[in-house]
Amino acid sequence: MIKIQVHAIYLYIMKICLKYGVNKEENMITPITYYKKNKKRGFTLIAIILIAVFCIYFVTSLVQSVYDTSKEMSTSPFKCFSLAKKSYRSENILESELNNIAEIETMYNIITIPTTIKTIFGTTSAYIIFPENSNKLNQIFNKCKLSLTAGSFPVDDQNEIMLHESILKNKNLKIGDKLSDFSIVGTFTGDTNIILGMISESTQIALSLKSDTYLLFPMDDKLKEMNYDLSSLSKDRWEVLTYSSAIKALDEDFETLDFVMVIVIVMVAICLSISVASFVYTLYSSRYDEFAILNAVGYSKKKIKFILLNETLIIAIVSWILGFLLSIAVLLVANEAIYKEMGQTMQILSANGLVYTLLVPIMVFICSVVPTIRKLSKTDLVTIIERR
Amino acid sequence: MILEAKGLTLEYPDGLSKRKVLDNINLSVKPKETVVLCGPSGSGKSSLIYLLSTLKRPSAGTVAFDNMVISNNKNADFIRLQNFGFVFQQHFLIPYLSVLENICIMRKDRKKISDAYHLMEDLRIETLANKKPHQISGGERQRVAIARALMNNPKVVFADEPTASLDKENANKIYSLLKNRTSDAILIIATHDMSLLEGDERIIKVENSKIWEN
Repeated sequence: MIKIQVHAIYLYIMKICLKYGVNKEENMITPITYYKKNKKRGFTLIAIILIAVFCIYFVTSLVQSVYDTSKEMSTSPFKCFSLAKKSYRSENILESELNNIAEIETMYNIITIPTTIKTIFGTTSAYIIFPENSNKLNQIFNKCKLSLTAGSFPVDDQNEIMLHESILKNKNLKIGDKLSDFSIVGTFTGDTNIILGMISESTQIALSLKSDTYLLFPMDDKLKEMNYDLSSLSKDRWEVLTYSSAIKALDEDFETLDFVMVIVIVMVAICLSISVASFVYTLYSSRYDEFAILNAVGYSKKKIKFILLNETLIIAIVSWILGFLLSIAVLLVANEAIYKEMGQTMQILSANGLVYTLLVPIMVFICSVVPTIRKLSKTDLVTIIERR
Repeated sequence: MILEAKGLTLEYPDGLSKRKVLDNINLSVKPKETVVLCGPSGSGKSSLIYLLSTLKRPSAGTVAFDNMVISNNKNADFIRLQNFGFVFQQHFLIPYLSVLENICIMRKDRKKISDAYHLMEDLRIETLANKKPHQISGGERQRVAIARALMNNPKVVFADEPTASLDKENANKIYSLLKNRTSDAILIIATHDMSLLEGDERIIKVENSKIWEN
């Protein structure tokens, strides 16, 4: 049954091919003939479209990487826990308000200090978390399913910290170095990009730091349910930081950058595409003698248009694929050589990048083929022969 | 297979009025006939060829081939492909194709390529098969154009001033070649060089939008 269907499909395709004269064995002029015989022009055109696609995809990926890095740094901790901070206006809030939330399994009273993380175009923020003692630090470490890779855990009443490896790379630090007033004593890996540490009482007083924040772990990993319950807390009394609020804050920060990026990329894509299209259009304009003789000897205008349409389509698709592959190759190298070294995240396959680069072949197709076919329809090809 | 024109008229808009290039032309051509269209420049020789070959549509009248009306026919391209061959004053060879590829412009299956080689041998251009048009002389280009026109064994060959851009010696050679190679078909040739004629042609003068047969 399948065999019969395949045969029927093959016959149908052959019928279409014969109808439009695309049988490769038979026709001298096929959609690839021109560029096969004019390799330099073909390569030039492919190179221009390829570079345009590469530039757009590369820039999109770079901008996307800033978002991804920021997202990784500022939201990954909230996949594991949430934070509830006492509002500065009502310091006399009791822990009991949190105790009433059934979905909270454990909570730790902590001090947080923000720190900056480098991205390609700027900085983003991450938290240094100081629990009350090293025992609680160990518990947090285990609950976040982190693994120590080098060094040791910070000890009580010392200004010591341990960093996630990607943050250590990002800040270009090593064990023994100092991050502000804190000595780095250990590194770890895991899905939660945080900095954990112990702070001495004297530093706490000197920096006027207060244990006004609670780190909350959910019951049975039911983070969503816990966050839902946390939303019932009074916003005047508590500032709650959850995964969704972190994502929302990040998206708000990137809203303007995204908008500017889209505008710039679309404009660049349109300008590049129009340049390529005008090059293709010029190529076609120099081929009217060819179209005239083909028409005279029996190629219908429809067939000539079909050949032109396919010529451009093949070139546009081939260039787009090559440009995309080149972008992926360069980004893979950049990711290994630069991004990973800097502890940053790069999404090599970017849906946005793909969409923006598609503008190039589409615009080239529209700006070159449509006017050429329109001109071809309006031109009496015999007059070209007559004028000679 | 007779080529027949009845009441063939061609007019162009000229400002508010219309200018008649050809007016009520009646003509019938039988196989093996060579028809020479002569007349001064701009008399309408080329226009008559374009009308008879369906390259142009007449303002009035019809063209019939093998008792089938071919003017204003939707399948004119296919009819031209199957039955007609063309040689123009300019060779109109496709610059990026080789001589062989230009000759086989419609088809390139094995039989056609073999036919093309035979044709090239007859026209003494077999050594040029892989050369590009810009690598050969004007006379050779016109021979290639003739080979292209003869490739499908056409029933009618239309030649519009095929020798105009050639010197006297080459012009005579090309004319004889064209005439000999189309001895079984209809050859309709427009020329103003009457010295090429060999004496057995049917001469039709085109002048003042009318034709006059000698």
